[in-house]
Amino acid sequence: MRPLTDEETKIFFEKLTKYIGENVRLLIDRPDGAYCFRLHRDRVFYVSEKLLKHAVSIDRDHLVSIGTCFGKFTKTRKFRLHITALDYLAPYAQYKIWLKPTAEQQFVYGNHIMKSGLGRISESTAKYQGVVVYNMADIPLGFGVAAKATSECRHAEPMAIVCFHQADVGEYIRAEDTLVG
Amino acid sequence: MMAASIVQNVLLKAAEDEAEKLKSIQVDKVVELEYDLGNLLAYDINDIDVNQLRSDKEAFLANLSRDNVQLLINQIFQLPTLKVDNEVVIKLPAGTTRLPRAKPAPKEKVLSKWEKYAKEKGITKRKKSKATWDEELKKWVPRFGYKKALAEKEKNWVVEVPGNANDSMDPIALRKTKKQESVAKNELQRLRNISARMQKSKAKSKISLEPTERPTIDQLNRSVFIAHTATASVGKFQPNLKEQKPILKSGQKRHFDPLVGDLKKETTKSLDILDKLKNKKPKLDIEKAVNRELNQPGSLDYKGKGIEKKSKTQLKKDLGKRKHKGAKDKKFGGKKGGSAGRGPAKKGGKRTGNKN
Repeated sequence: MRPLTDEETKIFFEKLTKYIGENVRLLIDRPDGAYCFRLHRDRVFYVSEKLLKHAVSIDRDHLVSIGTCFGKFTKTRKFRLHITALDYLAPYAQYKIWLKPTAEQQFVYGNHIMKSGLGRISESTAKYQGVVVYNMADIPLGFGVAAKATSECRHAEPMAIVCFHQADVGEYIRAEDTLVG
Repeated sequence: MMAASIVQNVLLKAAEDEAEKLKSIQVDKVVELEYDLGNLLAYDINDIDVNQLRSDKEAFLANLSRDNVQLLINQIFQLPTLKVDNEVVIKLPAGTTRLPRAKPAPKEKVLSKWEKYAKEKGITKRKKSKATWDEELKKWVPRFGYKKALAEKEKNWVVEVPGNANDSMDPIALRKTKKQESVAKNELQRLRNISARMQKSKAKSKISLEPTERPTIDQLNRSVFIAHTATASVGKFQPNLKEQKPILKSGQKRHFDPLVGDLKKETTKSLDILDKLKNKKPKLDIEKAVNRELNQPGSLDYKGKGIEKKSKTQLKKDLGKRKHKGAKDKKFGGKKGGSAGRGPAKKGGKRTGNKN
């Protein structure tokens, strides 16, 4: 376990800002105590200072997870967000997509979102913008990337993909053995 | 009379105190210790008084070790002493305890091809004399060198031609080629031996940059680094090539920040990085701006007519004047979702619509 290097921090923040924009600041600079990001086995964990101090006593072979896993660095040093980060992405999300009840299951099974399943979308969402996906009851289901801008969505066919799936809560069951934290 | 006895008493008391201070060099043990004087070692296999150990551990252990060291010293002083440069010296006997060696046992030397063969056949090396007696010339001729060559020339001034030989045969040329062939063969074998020895030793050079068929990324990085730093300034003033990635410092260990250091400092550092990221972004994302413009209710017709009416530059001009009216969510289809969808739009944390 170690702090992120400057380069890693940059890559990581670049990815986070795609979803929550400037609100990354609120994750780092919290009024309710010191929180930080730590790297352990290529995974980035969001940890409170208190928890971090406890975790120091566990050696790296035996440390599986601390705090919340945000995602991992791939071998090519790109950052990939995991579904476990949703708890922190959802409250700060800038661009959102709401799913119709009928499309919820499809998304939660790992499929892209089609125009027919789109309930609502944040205004002025750009193409390839990171979006958090909610159901109509405003429960966050996952996140993805907008395949079409809001304006394009209007004219899209019902079967056209409007949002590329990236992570969904179904992974808690589907990828139970690989998810950390 | 009285004074004398008092003096005697005092002296006696002093002697007793002295004796108390200096403990006896006699130590009684139920079982004799086992000594290994060569290693200055003594084994005490006597039982330990557990009660005493528990009640006062430190004192007990100190006492026990004193006694045992005393016994060891006693043993050492029983050895014959020498005098070297007016110093009393005791020569210790060889140690009897077998200690494990510090380093791994050396590997057996790998035999060369010839050595292996010679061992199999039982061939032993014989010393050859430097010169041999030549019956024909009646003189000593060295085994090699220019004198040998001269002797050969002198001896073979004439070459017999076999009876069945054809006319075109040149025995002198034949002999010459034969000699050349054997020299070439020897040379080849010599080089082969050298290369075999090189492979066996696998001696790596300091920079460890042996040519490989398919170099890995690490090897390439290393060679780039070495090439970069192979200047008089050790690469300090060496400009990077165009679009060259920063050169990875090879052979240097990376140092990470402390795991639990100054978290405040870390926070400010992260915020700095975030600021830099923000500054890097373009001030105006045209596509995004156009999208927003299109989404302004009433400003344009979505059917496509409006887009043609306003040019892009016109749109940009408009953008400058217009202030953002806050994020709104566009609703699609879904007659059912109509009323249900209103609420969530207002929620959802801090949404800053005017990102540009």
